[in-house]
Amino acid sequence: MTVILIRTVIFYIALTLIMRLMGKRQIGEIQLSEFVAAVMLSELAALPITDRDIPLFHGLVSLVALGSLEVITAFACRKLPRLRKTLFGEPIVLVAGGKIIDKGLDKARITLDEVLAVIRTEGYKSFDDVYYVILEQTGKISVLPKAASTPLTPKDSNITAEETGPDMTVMIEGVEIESFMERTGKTKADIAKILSENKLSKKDCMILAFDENGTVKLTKKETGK
Amino acid sequence: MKHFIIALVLLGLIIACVCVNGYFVRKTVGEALELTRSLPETKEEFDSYDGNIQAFADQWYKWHGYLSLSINVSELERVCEAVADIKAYVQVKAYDNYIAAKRRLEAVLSELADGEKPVFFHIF
Repeated sequence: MTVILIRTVIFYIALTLIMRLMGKRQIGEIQLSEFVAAVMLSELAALPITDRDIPLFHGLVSLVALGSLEVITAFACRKLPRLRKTLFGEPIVLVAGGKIIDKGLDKARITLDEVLAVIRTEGYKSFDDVYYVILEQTGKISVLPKAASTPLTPKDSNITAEETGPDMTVMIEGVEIESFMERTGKTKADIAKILSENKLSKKDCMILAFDENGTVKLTKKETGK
Repeated sequence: MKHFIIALVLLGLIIACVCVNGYFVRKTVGEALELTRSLPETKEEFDSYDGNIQAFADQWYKWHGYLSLSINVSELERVCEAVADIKAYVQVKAYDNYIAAKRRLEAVLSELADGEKPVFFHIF
């Protein structure tokens, strides 16, 4: 088992380095270390299950070691910016000020076709609408439009928009969501009061939510066809 | 922070578990090797052997249960096969086959003990 533990650590480091070399596009939305752990975990879990010759402990040692390594790496990256930069790299600018940065495309190994596809996916008709395109550490490509192509916001028209925040759903299908109840400061008694004011029982309530201003948003369960 | 501490504790536990297992396997296999070496070696010793070969086999099957928790089944089967051969050849008094089976058992047990050592050759 000692050999298996050491092999697991070696494979974790090797796979992380290889994936880092392969670039961000391989990993999509998750962090590199998470991706490496996910790839290895899926294989490791399958082997002792299907092969009766392999003792269960061989799989468990590798699984626990990998899971722990992943959490420790994530924590170390959070605390050590230099390690974070080494493992996850930096954002790469592909288009700056409306001009294509060849060096960035080479570094990210992304073709212009792919950049144009992302621009279209983001809903822009022309390359002229785009001011910046950045490949983020997560592998996602951000498209920032030129000021002339940016949708109008209340701020542009000097309109003061009221901040309501997201809806905090305190009850779904009659079940209280305690984390949101805590955040909104609502108690079970408050919820019961609102339901009785609307002549509803818990089971008749589909969604009960509050925004940051305390506005009640209640959706009844429809029983009809 | 809580997850980090749990991960560190788990990793520490796993390392401790692996070290204890390595020690246990080397100790048990070492004892098995000693027991094997205590069996008759020369033709004269073999002919005059009146020890309980069944006790030797039973002792091995007792260890087998514990070792199967951390050693590949196919490796343990090689040991079981050699033990069964030794037992059979002692019973039918076939010295040449017996000594071959004994050598095989010694080699397999040495391999098992070495397999737990974290040496370059085994890791790569």
